[in-house]
Amino acid sequence: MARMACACVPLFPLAARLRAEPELRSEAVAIVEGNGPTARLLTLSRVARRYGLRPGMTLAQARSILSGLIARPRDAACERSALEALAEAAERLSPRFELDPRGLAYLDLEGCLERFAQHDRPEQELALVLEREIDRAGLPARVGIASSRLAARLAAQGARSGSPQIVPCGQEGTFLAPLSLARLDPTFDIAQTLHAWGVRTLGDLARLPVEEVTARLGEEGRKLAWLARGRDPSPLVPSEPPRLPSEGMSLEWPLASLEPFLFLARAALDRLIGRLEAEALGCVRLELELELEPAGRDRRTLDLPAPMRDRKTLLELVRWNLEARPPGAPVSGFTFFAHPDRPRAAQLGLFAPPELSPDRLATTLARLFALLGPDRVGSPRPTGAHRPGAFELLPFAPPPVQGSPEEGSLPPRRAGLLAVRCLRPPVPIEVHLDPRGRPARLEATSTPTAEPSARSSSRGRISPPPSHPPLEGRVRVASGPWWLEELWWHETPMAREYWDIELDSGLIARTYREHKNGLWFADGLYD
Amino acid sequence: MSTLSGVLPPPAGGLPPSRDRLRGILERLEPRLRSWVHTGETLRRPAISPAPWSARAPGWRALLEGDLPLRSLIELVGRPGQGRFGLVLELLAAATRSEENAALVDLGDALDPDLAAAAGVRLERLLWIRPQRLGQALATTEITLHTGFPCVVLDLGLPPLQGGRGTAAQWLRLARVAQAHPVVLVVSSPFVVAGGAATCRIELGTARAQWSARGREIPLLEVLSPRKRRTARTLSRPPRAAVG
Repeated sequence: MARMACACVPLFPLAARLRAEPELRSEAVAIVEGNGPTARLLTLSRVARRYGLRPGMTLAQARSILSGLIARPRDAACERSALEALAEAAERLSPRFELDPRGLAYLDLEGCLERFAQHDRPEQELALVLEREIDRAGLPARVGIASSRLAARLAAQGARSGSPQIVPCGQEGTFLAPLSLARLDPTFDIAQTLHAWGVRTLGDLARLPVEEVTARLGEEGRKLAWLARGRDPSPLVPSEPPRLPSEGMSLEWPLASLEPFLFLARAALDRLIGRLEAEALGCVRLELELELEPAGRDRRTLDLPAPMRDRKTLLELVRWNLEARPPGAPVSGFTFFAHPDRPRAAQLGLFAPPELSPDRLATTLARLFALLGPDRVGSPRPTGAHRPGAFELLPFAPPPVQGSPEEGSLPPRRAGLLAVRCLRPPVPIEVHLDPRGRPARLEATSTPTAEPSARSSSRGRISPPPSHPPLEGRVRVASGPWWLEELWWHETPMAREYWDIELDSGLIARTYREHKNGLWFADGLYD
Repeated sequence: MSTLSGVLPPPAGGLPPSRDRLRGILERLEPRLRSWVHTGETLRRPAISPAPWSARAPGWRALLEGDLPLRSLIELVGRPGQGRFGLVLELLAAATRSEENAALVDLGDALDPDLAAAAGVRLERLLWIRPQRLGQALATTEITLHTGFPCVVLDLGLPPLQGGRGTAAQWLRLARVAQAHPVVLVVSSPFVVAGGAATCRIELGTARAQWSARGREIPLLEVLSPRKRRTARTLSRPPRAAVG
């Protein structure tokens, strides 16, 4: 017979809320349903119950007994996050599990007990491990194991923390027999009928023939009859683990300033990163959904250069994003969604130089992206274009160290160096030619460049004007012309005539003349 | 305030020798024995380790007359056309060809990847950071130092510098961060900026351009040889402080 484990989170709406606000654990807290005078207590913390408060009381009644009662509405975001955390904990023990929105998780234990075979009581050990996993996710749990879902659930609800209840295989009927019929949660009509028949306990119902019960009460009656016998009328319907872990909450009142929001966001990010850490995953993209007051949503995405788990950096990125683009309305709730991915692994070598720590590198790149923008940080590559200075930026991902570099890989030794310092954007210049058509003299010009200007950056700020030394004087040496033509098929082809020019000041500039308009520019300095 | 000699009796073996007497004793030792003896003063001064890939940067070794020191801020000063950027590329090539990662904080946006690859830089190991102001350049340099890059070059580009020269406190902070990590930090600037925060400053003189016609009418620029005008080393290093 298949064995089933049930993990039950008692007072689930309250547990989900306390998971998001752990500072309230020692307070008198109540989860309230409804608004205004019809608001009623749904669940209460133990501290609140000590004052004589009970579920079903109106909030006004409760406040008249305990004025310091902290009331919170049901929070769908908190409960969704708590269910996701419960699912992740369940998945660590069994690949087949079914979630119940009331804070229950049913696990199919087929093939899962081999891990604990060396223990005297494998089921007991599994139940304790499951309880610990759920506790690490910030939720209290009670665990029961039986051969049917109902028996496992009732065993879990009767268990205590640290003492899971195990119903031996085949004894579900005995376990269920003395329990009240209300535990099956029948419909009102069926409950009335069974009461009229004198059926009070699950044992009484199990003694009735299934066919007779079905004939009188229909399909619902058939299911109840099988449940009372400790059998599942339907198979487990596996739930899928959450694809995008999320953490969030609804706020008690809308927030208009950044710091209080970040205080709450930090706690949510901590929980989210904690869940990723438990799965050895990092976050490669973080989405933030804000619920705005009175209506509307604001969704924003932070792309990270590499999977990372640094809470401080993620919070900084969220701060900078909100500062750069405020939501424009008070925020009444928020949810973080993390796109998970495996972090980069680093294999160190005994004889090779140490590699950069992948976590630290990911954090650094994220901070550089946030400071400068993603288009100003990366690993440069030539594009293969003829035009000097053309480049593309790729994500910086250094290859693993192969070992000691070979001597043969050294570049050929020269007496000096030859390097060009690019001038971006190119600097317009005025060139006077000699009778042979070669540059003879350069003069500075104040004409705005005809080249497309790159003055606006990706962060929306105007970049400062380019710096370059004065390019003027008599030409001492002129090397050229070097013809360069590119994209002849394009609507804006490039055709240039390049000259390397040494001035009497000693500066050597790389200059060119555009064929289309005859303008001269300097796009590099030999330095 | 009374001295110890006036309050307590002298030790049984007599007073310890003065510094001059100690120096005299050391000088009379054989050279081989002298290298084994360290005074408290030399022990207090932290030892400077060379970068293991210094041998691949012959231009730098010639300028420094030795290896590139780790945990140091080296200031390279030179006007445009004196070969400063060529030295920067040589340093990046030496580090990346030794399977080390390097970072270039390029304030002037001067790098040409094609020419860098031709100079020997392994681009897949180079992180190119392109700030637009000096403040951004300093912040990103500090972030990069904390990451663990063994070679970081901050090239301030051509004059005038965007954002001014920075304050002495900013450069001192950067030097202290460099001291806390096994990194060679080079600040390449058209004029002196780091001042006393630098462990060593190299000032370049006029470079020598070599043109060769090779029998043709059009001359070819073959090489630009940087020349050292002056090297200055700080007499006392900034105290090593814990940098968070």
